[in-house]
Amino acid sequence: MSLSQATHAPAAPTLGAEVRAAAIYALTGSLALLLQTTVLHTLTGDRIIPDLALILCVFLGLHEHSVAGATGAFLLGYLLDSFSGSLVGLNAFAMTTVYTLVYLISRRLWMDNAVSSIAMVFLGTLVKGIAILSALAAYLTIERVSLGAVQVLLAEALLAAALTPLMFGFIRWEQRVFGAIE
Amino acid sequence: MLEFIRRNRVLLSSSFFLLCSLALLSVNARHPGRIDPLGRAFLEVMAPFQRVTSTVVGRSADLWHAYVGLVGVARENGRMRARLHDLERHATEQSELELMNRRLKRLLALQRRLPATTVSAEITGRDATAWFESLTLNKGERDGIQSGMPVLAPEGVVGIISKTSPHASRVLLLTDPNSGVDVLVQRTRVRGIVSGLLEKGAILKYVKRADDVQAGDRLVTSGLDGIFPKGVSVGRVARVSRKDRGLFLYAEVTPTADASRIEEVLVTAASGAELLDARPRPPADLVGPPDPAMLGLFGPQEPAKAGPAHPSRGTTGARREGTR
Repeated sequence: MSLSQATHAPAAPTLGAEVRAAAIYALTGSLALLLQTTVLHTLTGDRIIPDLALILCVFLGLHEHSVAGATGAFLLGYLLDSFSGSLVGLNAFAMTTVYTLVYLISRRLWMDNAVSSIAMVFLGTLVKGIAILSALAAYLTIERVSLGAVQVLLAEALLAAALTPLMFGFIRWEQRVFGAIE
Repeated sequence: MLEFIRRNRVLLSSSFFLLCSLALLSVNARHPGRIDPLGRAFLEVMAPFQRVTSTVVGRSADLWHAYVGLVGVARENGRMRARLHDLERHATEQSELELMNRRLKRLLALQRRLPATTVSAEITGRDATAWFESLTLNKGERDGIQSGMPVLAPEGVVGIISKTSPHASRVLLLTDPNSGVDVLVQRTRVRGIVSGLLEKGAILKYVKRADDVQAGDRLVTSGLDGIFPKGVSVGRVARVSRKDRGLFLYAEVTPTADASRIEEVLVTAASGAELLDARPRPPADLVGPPDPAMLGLFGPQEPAKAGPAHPSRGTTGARREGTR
């Protein structure tokens, strides 16, 4: 829990607000996936795809400290698994790991500012990459990780970090428009 | 106890989902696609949106190329500019149609050479992450597409169908790190496995250091994986290295079918043997002259200089390669 949340404990959200919040995250996740599988490939020339779904996962880790938040992170990963690679559960595992890590960090550190959000997304991308490589090494025949793969991971982390203010701003805008926050 | 659960509910639920993910991973690593309760639904729900977005992106790119480059000319004369834009749009459409016609003609020629049921499909989406290589097609089970079917383009092997829903399907590309295609070096008949790399591209695996493989060698499918027909072009050896210690050499491969440029593919239900039987049949009823690239799909038959390497090695298909 962040400091602001610790000192000013918010009232329990109503069922309607929770449903609206869930709908906003579902919409954002689907939109992120749609962009990742179509438009962003055209813009980035297939080399590096910014992981918008991961930015949403970090947002959940920072702001949704509930069972619904963890469920959302898992489902987001599962959704990504349906459109990436062939191993079901890989992204679900990585996204849940990222969510848990961000949640644990945000409980202990002040995280309600843009710089820390960007840093968390950068860290989250690296953690996701490491989680995926570890799972691949454990379950598949990945023999070695080359410098090229590390470069792709770093470039992806930088790109995701750069897009964080935009993505967070978009989610907050959605929340305001749909009345999920005051 | 209840207080402990209430205080740690997020961590407990996260741990539960981590265990769920690991369970999914474990089962699906051994038997791909065995437990995937929501994957089909996600694919089916997202497919129409992907199709629409793909079309919009394609049209926007066309408009961008057709109009933006003419801004300088537009300033000179308003009337001429409007006329020019109109002609340019027509020309773009015309050349797009011509290119599409050429591509479809090649695809049709390929389809006529395949004896079994074939389905042509358009690509509507690409992989959601930079780690893997896959495509989404606009055809699914309703069109006869099933998991494990080979996917071909006029240039050569594209990949195999990894997941299907009623109206969409996903292709695991040759260049994905989880894929693997049993191949022969056409010049020397040395056998190996072409597999993708995490950092893009592909390599030739499990070829002994002493085997005769050189840069420029053409790789064709061996047909032994029971998925792809024998003799379909897979790629060319780009670089060979024998520096590392170990039993095998390291060879980088450039796939002949560049997935980033392909817009239509052909999915076939034929087994490798069926396709092999059909190889000598020429595309006699093909409208227009045969395309050289099309004729190159099954590659010229170069005489073997050495016997089949690794006769004892088992069959390795894309799906089998991906699991331990």
